[in-house]
Parts: sequence; C-alpha cells; structure tokens
Amino acid sequence: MKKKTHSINFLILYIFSIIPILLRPKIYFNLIYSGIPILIYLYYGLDLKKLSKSFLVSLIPSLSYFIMIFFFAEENLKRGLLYERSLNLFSLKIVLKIYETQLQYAIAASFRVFLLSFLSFTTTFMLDIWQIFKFFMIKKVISFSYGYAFSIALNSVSSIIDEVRRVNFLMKNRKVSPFYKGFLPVLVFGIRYSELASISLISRGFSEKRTIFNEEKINKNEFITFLIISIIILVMLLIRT
Amino acid sequence: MIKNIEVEYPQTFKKLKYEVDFPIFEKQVVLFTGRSGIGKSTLFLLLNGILSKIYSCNISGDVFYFNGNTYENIIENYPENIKKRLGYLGQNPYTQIVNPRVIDELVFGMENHQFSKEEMNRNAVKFSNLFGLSYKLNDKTKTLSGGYCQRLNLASIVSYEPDIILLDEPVSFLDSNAAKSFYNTIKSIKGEKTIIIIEHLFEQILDIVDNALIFVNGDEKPDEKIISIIKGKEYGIARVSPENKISQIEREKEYIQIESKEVFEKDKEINIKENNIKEKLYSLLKIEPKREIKEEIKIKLKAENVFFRYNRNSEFIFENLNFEFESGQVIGIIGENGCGKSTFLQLVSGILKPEKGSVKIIYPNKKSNESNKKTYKYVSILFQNPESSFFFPLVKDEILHQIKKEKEIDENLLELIHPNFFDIVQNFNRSAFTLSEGEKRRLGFIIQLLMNRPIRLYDEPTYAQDYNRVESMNKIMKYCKKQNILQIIVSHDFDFLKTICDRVYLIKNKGLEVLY
Repeated sequence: MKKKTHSINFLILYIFSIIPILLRPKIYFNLIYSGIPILIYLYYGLDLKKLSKSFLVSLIPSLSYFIMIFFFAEENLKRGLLYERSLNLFSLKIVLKIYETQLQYAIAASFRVFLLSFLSFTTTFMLDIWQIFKFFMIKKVISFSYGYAFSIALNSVSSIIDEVRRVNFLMKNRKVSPFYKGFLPVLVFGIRYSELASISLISRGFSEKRTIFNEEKINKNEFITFLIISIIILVMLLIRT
Repeated sequence: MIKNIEVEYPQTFKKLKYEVDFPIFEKQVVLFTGRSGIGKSTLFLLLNGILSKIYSCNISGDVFYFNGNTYENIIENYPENIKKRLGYLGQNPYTQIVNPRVIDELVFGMENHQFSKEEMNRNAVKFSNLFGLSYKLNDKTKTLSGGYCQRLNLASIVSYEPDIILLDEPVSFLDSNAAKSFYNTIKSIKGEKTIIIIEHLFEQILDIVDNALIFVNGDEKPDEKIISIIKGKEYGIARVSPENKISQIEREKEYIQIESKEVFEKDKEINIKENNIKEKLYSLLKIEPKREIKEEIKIKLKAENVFFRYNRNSEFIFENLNFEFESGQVIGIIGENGCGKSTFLQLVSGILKPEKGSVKIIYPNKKSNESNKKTYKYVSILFQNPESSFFFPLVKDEILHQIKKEKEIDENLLELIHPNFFDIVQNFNRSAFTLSEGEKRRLGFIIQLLMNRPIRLYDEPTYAQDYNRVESMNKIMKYCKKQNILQIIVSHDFDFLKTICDRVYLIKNKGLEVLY
C-alpha cells in the first residue's frame, strides 16, 4: 500500500533541500542534501521508473551548462594547464587547452545544476498541484477566483494540445498560410473553453464566500516530522559553514 | 411565466425578439425545441441570469418567477436568491468541469451555496449513488468518459437542490446508451424538480416530457414533423424574430459593392437578380461551375494490424485493427463514449500515428508510401468542434478561400448546398466563430464539400441539427456517394446512419465489429 502525505510536506522538504544546493558548491555535501529528500520520496512510494526518468531528463540541462561553462570559461579560470593539443582541420588550426580550475569549476557547477533539476523533476512526481492550490486557497494565501482559474487552466491543457494538433492538420488540409493564421482557431478555442468554464462556475453560484467539504488537512505529526528533517538539513549546512 | 423579451447586442446591431406567452408550472418537465440557432440557448442563459453578465447586451421584457408568495420579474432585477434555485447544465460535458477530482466537482455547487459539512456529506453520498458515481469519487475528472462527465455535472447541480434545472442538449455529446442512462437519471428526479430541456431529437424523452415550447422564426408555422411527434402533449409557440439595425438587404448590397470593388475589380458588371440567391452566390464567388467530375478516381483505405494508445502508460484503444474501405462507400462508426470513435477518425486522417501497424491510402496510380505521408491531400475531416477549421475573420472569407484554392466546384453539389438553406448568404458578413453550434457545423460541412477530397470524414455531423437539416445532409452525402467519394461518419445517431451507410461498424473490444 502506497503511503500518503500532504503535498505541502513535500514542498517544504523540497524548498529546504534546494537552499543548501544553491548556497554551497561542494559536491559531497550537495549529494547528501539532495539524497535525503529522494530517500523520503522513495519511502512514500516514488517508483524507480520515474526516478530514472527524472535522472535522464536532468542530464540535459546539466550537460548543456557544462559545455557552456567549459568552452566559454572566463579568463581568470584558466589556471593550471592539464592538457594541450593542436589540431589542423584543413587550413584551420584549433588549439584545445584544458585547465584544472576550469574543469573543476565546470564539473562542480554543472553538478549543482544536475542536482537542482533532478530534485525538482522528482519532486513534481510527488506533488499534487491541486492539493497545494486548495491548501493555499483555504489558508487565504490566494483567492478562490485565482485558484479555480488555475484549476480550469490545468484541466484545459490536454484539450488545447489536441486542438493544436487538429489545427495543424486543417491548415495543411485547407491550404491556409502563413502559419500565424493558425493562432486564431487556437485562441478562440482557449477563449471558448474559458467562457464555458466560467458559465459553469457562475451558474453554480461561485463566490469567495463558501464552505469547504474537503479541507485537505495536514497531519500534524507528519508535518512536524517533515519540518524537523528540513531543519536538520539547514542546520547541517550552517554547521559546515 | 415567460412573456415577450428583447435581447439587444449593441456592438453587433443584433436584436432578438421573443414573443412567448407560455407558463411553466412547478415540477413539470418542459421541452424546448425548434430550429437550431434560433435562440433557445440564449433564452436559457437569460433565465439563468448569466446572459447580461457575460455578454454585453440589453435585455427588456418580462419573465415572472413565482417565489412561493409573489411573482418577481427577473428581467428587471435578477434576484440573488433565485440563483440558488436554478441549475444549468450545458452541452459540452468536459468544459463544465472545473475541479481535477470527482469528489471536489460533486460538492462544488454545495460549497458555493454554503452547505454545512454534514449536508454536503449526506448529499454527496445520496447523489453519487443515484448517478452511479460512488466508486469513482476519488478518480481524476480527466479520466472520466463524456457520459460520466455529464452525469457528474448533473449530480453537482442536483446536489445543491435547485428547484429548476435547465438542461441544454445534455446528451448531444453522449452515445445512445449513455444518453438513455442520463435520461433515466432525469426520470428518477421527475416530479421533484421543474426541468426544462432543450433537445432537437427528442423522441427518446417523450415519456419524460409533460409539455413543450416550440421555437419558430417570426411568423413561420411550427414544423409539422415536430407537432406530429409531440402529439398528445400540450405545447406553446415561441416566436423569435432576429432584427438587424442595418437591414439584411442593405447588408447584402453593401457586401456586393465591396466584393465587386475589392475582390473582382475586373468584373464590374455583376448582374445579380435580387431573388435568385444561387445566381447571386455564383456571381459573388465568380465560379465557373463544372458539370461533372471528369476523372473518376478509385482509392482504397486500408488498415493493417493497427495498435494505438495515447501514451505508453495508458491502455491500448485499438489492438490489431484491420479494415479495408473503398471509393463510393459510406461507412458508419458507432460506439460508446470514450471507446475511440474520434481517435479512429484521427488515425484514418493521419493526425495520429499508430504505435504498430499502418493505415494506408492506396491510389492505383501512385506509390502507397507517397500518399501516406501527405494524407491531408486526400482526406478532409469535419471535427466535432468545427471551429478548428475556421481561419478567417468572416464566413465569406472562409468560403472564398476554399473556392480559390480548389478551383473545381461541382455545380450539382452547389445546388444541393442551397445557400438559403444553409444560411450562407445571411451570415456572409459574420464571423464564423459567432455562429450557433448548428450553423458552425453546417459551415464546416460546406467547407469540407468544397475541398473535394476523395475521402471525407465526419465526426457527429448531425449534432445540433434539426430534422430538415439532417435530411438535407443525408441528400448531400448520397450525392457524394454517387460521385464515388469514400465517406466515414462517426455518429451517435444510429437512425441517421441506417439511412445512408452501406455498412455500420461498432467499436468494441478495441476493434471494429460489423453491425450490419
């Protein structure tokens, strides 16, 4: 049986875990800070397939960051030459130089990016966005109007993707060009969707004054546990610094 | 009691005048029917107090609501307390859902009307059981089929205990089984609430309906077919007269002048006979109609071992699907909601690609591979939402564009698409997006005909069409069949399919089963 907890707990844990990664560049510590939430996610039923998916997806931004930093390094990072080779490509002479500082900096920085994206992607698998929004609406952090507008937008995403696919086909089908003419039906679809959804809201008497059936209460013990873990991560960071 | 009402849209110079004198009594089930696009849904939005809030319009007239003691005129000032007593259910089940979870959607109306937690709990249990939703309460709303979505919408409305429920073509997106089940649910609350239903094809609900209000255009007589069907029921007539501040003739003239100057400058002497709409259309569009299609092309549409699903985590919608259709056939496809009817059309048209297997268009003179890559050259499709195919500001632009691009127009076909009948000329200078649902579908249908592709796919073509228009579509499709065009129709309307199709298939067990 999959263990359940309120998404707010995961959100708190996530925020507290990324603070150290954002602040400290040391690889080993970063690994510890991001490892703790991942272990907790696994305890709460994150499956390995999703974990490996977010691992692979995270490689993309980190590798691009590595390439960017390594090949376009600032002058002050070019210290301690490790490797040098010149290549002759036709009439073009290319000199490849790898500096120790440049390499260290590129690895550390891209690893941080990797951990940040890995943690972020993995956390999205654990979060129930609607639960978080509802929590904030109940706590009056955001108004019900904004919350439900967001909910409608969330519901409409898959319909809009389908509509774009249909419009693409029909543009070729009806020999319509240029491409921007396709914005019109998609835009109208979006407006129409919101119009019908708002009619549905208003006709059921939507207002800010309302009672709540499912209050999405957070289990106190769980909340405290998550908070303590998060604080431990922060304290660890403070002690090290 | 609905009396005479006027709805004026100042921005578009449009005015709708309703002449009604028809009382709706408490706890009755009343049918609103009549030609599509006449203004039935507008009246619903007006009764619900939404019309003036969402659209900028001026409303005058009398709609009296008996609140138990006195009559209140809700046109003058829409009383807030009436809102609680009204529930409105629209046509599209998906766009009405605002919550991602079934339980949240079910209690949404009750939360708005500030029911206590105990009341909400009691009603949620009661209505989820009544509407067969109890085992789906923890599901996500996006996983529900159209039928369940509509049931959920109704449950959400009924749960806050309104006295009057307005149902605007509630089963138009549902298959026959889901529609039957939906109306059985309505039957279960008959006598407890006042229910007003807009429905075009209403034979299925005659046993629920107590009386009817037939909507007609101006001084027209009500359709005899409608009267013969509702025989024995008490009925009233609602006369709806659309008025434009700029008269129709002036608009026509204005349009002709613009067109003759801007589009066809060379041809300055357009001889138009005022009363001959067909000729006017030819002149305006400057068509040289072709008497017949010269080359007869025989094609085949073949699917081999097709497997399809939307993503790797979902179930297959089609498994080992095989079929072979050819030119001149009319194929009907039916099936329950969510079984994959629209997906089937998208696979055939090449919008969606199968995970395994292939759907091929086989031309005798071309390599099959060539045609598969560019299916849009051979296939035209009328989607459930015809707005996807509108790219231009006005109706005339939509039609003109297609005529200019295609060049080959069949005169006999134009004869069948009588401009008056399909409201082309009347709506030439309007945006296609502002047409009624029925009109939009007819415009989409006409555009599709003008495209003159050898394969035509229709997704629910009869949706929001009255009996006459359905008959007219039937005639056109029969003509296209004679022209050797392969037509595939997805519809819930089995009676319609029977009249036109050579073969009707049922989508069942992730494949096609021949029905007849």
